[in-house]
Amino acid sequence: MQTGICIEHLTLRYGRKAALCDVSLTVPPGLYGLLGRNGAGKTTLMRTVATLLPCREGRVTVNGVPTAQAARVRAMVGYLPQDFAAYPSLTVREALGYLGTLSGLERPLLRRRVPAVLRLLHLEEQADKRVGALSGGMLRRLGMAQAILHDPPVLIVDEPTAGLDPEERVRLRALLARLAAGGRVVLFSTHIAPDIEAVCGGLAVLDAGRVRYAGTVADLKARTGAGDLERAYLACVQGGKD
Amino acid sequence: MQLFLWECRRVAKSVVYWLYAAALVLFLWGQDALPVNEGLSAFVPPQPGDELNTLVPSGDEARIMPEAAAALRAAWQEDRFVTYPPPLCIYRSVRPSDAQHAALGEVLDALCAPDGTLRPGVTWEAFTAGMEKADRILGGGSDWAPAGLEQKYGLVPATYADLVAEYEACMAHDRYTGAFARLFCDYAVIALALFGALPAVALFRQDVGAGRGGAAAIWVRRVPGAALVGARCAALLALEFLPVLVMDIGLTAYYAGLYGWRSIAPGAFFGYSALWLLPTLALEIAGGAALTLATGTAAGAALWPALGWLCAASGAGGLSNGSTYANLLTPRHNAVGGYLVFRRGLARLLAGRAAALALAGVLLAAAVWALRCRRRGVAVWRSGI
Repeated sequence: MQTGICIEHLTLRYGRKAALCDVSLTVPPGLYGLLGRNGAGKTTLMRTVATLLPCREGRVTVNGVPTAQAARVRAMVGYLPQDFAAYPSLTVREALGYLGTLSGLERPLLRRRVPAVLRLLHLEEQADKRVGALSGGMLRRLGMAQAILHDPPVLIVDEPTAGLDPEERVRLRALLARLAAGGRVVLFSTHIAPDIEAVCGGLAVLDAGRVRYAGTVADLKARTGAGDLERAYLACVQGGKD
Repeated sequence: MQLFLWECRRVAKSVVYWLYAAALVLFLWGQDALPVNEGLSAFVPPQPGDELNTLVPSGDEARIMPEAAAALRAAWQEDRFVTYPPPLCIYRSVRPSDAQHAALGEVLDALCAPDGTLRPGVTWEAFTAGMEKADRILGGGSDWAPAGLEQKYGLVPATYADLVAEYEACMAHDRYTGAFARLFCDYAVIALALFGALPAVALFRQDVGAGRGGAAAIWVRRVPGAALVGARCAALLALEFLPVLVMDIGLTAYYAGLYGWRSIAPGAFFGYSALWLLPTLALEIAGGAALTLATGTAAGAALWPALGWLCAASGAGGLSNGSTYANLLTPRHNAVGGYLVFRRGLARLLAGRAAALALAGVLLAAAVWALRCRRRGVAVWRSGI
């Protein structure tokens, strides 16, 4: 079976405006970063891969399955949306139980998986708190917990580190790296270059709906002669405009 | 089943659900329906002389035809008709076009002489065919629909034997609780039509209220749309019916205390509630779900109560000819007893309830379709969820 995410000539328009323009990208197993400024098209790309937006021009496959076969793709994907929220009246444990049920987890498996992800995300003490009472950072952790709850082979995480304090950012990056180490495909979008530099081998730079670069972090730095990814990214994007 | 139980838990944790339950109880309490203590005379054997104040359908074609024709002529001359067109049976004032007015005149000319009397030799079949045509011209639900002619026209003073027959039928079949259960359902169905859609709208709106990201976290999961909508609507139906069941238990116990367990029909409240109320509840829930998923707004919270109010407010107008039994949202029977009247309207009631269930099924399918579109990012009415 072909593993990874394969995007071929994807164009997606909101009305007359193209949010993605002839995007082609191959995301292999491992941790893969998607870097771009706000409005670059990262979220649109991730939502398309997660079957939440229609793929009318081009082709997207997840582990060899085209996104047109939404039910099969959904069974493989864990998704953390950029603006994740959950039902405020449920407790954290209940929210995970409910979302796990929607993922098709049977009760015995849920009884094992929910405490496991609570532990993994350091949410045990918040387990019986109402979701509505969680802080932004805790909500982000809950978002990660629901994304990995059903142990998906493909994980799509949209700006997971935005709004987190430095300690939580480091912890979350380490978790993503650990999840990717087992052969899972992890597509990780952010506009914070150091987050990608810290954990990703491969990355794509997205700007104005187009792929400006796709390859390794080391190669991008070498090509641009920049000492760090932040400068390399700026050189790449500004070079693209010239 | 697991998903159904989770949805039940979500419904039970919804503030709107508890507001619905409170509104339902308060509405019935306010109508003195918890319990009904009026109309107890229905259970007192009729006395000679009681019949003088009561009119009953005669079923006499010779009486019905001239009365109905005269009423049609009067309305035609005034050029104004009141109808309760199905399926909602909401009050409608009809002013026919010139062509319709002329067509109604032709119907009258075929049945009546110029002086307004019935033409000699007009058969019942020809008369009802003419009335059916007139009803069709008026858009249905008029006082001349053949199915209601016998209830509306040809009424005669009751005989003492009529009252005895009604009383005996009531005692034999209703056994107290049946008679009270119909009045309970008459009030409860209004409350359900007013408030029944609100928990559904609130629950489906929660997906939107959780933000685009909240909805995405749910919709990206493998659960099929039909299972999600089906389990949620089933949970809403079960929990919204629960307060009705609790009241049924309480009222059955109350009347058992009043008349004795052996004298009452213990299953009457439950049977009437299931037949009378569940289809309305199903329609409200499916309608609330479909509208919320299709528009992404809480418009259903305004539309469905408004429809329910219109049906309830205008439904009373059809009580006299029994047409209100067919009302899609609020079939009415605003009396204690009246078993024989109910029996005569039962076919209409069953047809109306079946139509409500069928429409609920269609709306449920529409809700599944709307969810499917939204999960794929295809805007149904308004993008956003």
